[in-house]
Amino acid sequence: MSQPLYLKVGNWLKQFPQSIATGASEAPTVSGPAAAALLSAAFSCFLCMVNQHLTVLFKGWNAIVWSLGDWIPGSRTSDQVYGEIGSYSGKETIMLVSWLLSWVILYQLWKTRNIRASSLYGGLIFFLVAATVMNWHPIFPYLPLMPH
Amino acid sequence: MQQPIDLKPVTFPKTKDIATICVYALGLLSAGLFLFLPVVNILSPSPWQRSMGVIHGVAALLATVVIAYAGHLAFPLLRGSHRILSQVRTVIFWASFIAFLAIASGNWAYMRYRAPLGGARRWILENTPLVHYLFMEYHKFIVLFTLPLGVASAWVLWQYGDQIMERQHRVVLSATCIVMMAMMFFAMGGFVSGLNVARIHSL
Repeated sequence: MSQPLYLKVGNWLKQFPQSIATGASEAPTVSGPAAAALLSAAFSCFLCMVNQHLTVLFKGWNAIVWSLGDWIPGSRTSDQVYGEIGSYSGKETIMLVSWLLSWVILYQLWKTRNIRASSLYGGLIFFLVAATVMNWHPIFPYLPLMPH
Repeated sequence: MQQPIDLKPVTFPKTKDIATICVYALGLLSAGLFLFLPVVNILSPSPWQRSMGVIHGVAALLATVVIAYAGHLAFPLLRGSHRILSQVRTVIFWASFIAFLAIASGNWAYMRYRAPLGGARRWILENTPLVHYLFMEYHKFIVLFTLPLGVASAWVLWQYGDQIMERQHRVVLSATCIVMMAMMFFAMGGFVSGLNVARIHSL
């Protein structure tokens, strides 16, 4: 019995692109490459938030960070109505660079090694929880905070 | 001897067919209605909300839905279901791609949010600063987390192939499932906080 159109479309989508659906032909025999990929991603989240606190505390560092994000369109404009991204563009850049760089370094170090489960889980949980908590600066720079 | 159930003649095939069509139709209609949520921005009096608001809203909602779908696949993956492996690989790949689109459109909308003349940020800081410090600060960083986590889990699932289900890779599989669920958690938090900010002041 032929399938209805929505099932055909749904099943096709689940297998597209085919090269990704089938996976790589040869899998690593150790956990190092996976640990490098996962931990570097979590580490970049953590570093992004550490950097955020540094930019709040040190205005000079904030200016440097902003200059690092100048390559992103809209980072710096003089349009008072359209606005600009500001130093957030540099914070994104630092996160991107730290992610890719740490991935490359960790991959080279761990590509033939097995990483202990406790190290992998511990690293992931620490980085992700710390990154989440650091979203809120301990001292808000503005008081009173309630609606006026 | 009792016959297997699937060999028994089906008495009311049409009833089952009608039910199947109804279930799928209602499911598709419900999903369509939900995805319609950010389209209301077209009716906003603000031209910024009509352009940036619609585009970022649609991208963010799509990203949240696809990431939530991918996140839920972590449950059968943890149970060791081989059948969904190819689906997980493609869904997490597309989830990462749409997350990037949501972030890029968010950068664009963030420009107008910060605009000195008529931007939402200035109004919110003057009138209800907690919305900025609690929700917007959280929103703009937490959504960034979805991209590296999505790409990392997509890469691991692709690189380890079907062998990720083998006993020796149990730790890799479990850690990938944690990262997939973390991606869903951050996408949900990002969507809710962004929606809250947009509800207080449009672009």
